[in-house]
Amino acid sequence: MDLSVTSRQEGERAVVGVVGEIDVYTAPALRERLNDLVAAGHYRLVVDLTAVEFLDSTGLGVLVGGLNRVRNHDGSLHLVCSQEKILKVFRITGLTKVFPIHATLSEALAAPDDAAVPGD
Amino acid sequence: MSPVVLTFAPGPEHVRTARLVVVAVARRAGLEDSRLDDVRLAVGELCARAVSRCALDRARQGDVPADEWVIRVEVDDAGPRLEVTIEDPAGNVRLPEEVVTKAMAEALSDGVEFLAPAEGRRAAARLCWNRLPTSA
Repeated sequence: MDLSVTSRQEGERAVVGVVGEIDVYTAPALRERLNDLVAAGHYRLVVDLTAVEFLDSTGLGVLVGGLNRVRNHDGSLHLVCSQEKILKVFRITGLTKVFPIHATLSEALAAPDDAAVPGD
Repeated sequence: MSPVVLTFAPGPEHVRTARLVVVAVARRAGLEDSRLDDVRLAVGELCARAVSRCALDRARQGDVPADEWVIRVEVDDAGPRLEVTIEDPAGNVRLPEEVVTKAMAEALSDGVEFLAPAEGRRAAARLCWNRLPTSA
């Protein structure tokens, strides 16, 4: 397995830590974790992509799916990412307008649920 | 230099291997470092697309000899451009998420073309990158 997914509670948010490569092979493990969290009543999520080395459109699809699920419960899904190569994937697909993306975990945890998504 | 050719059974577990091989060839071919991440991502996208096309068209697998039910990746660095061709044995299937994949391949490469499967020809996607920085 080239991907590790962990989760823990930080205040009112569930933080999902992802390490490795998110692609067509590994993305189902992330989807499963997000689905499990939502099924268990966690609707305020932070997905920490700091240690992600690769992200493809399958991974983006999983994150968008997670966002839709938490929004059905008036929840939120924030991302933590500061690596240019990963940010580029969000930029070229227009998803910087969909996800609140923070440079650090502490910034994500301090952000309000309805944090405005900055324009591209 | 003769091209590097890689074939693999259409399973998602092999896409990472294809990315690693193509990026290694691109690096050796002298592609700028800043573009290697683009190569990794675009090739990953199109190999994942080929795997998904095969999964969607599994019914066709019985009509194709076992050793032809493979995805073939060819990396050619002989010319002024690095060319990567990804062929798959699936027929005319349309993936729901294909628009995103094609837009990403377009944004990450210096050119991409898609060839539909036809009599005597497998479906193919061809990506290219200029090896030298284009002068302004």
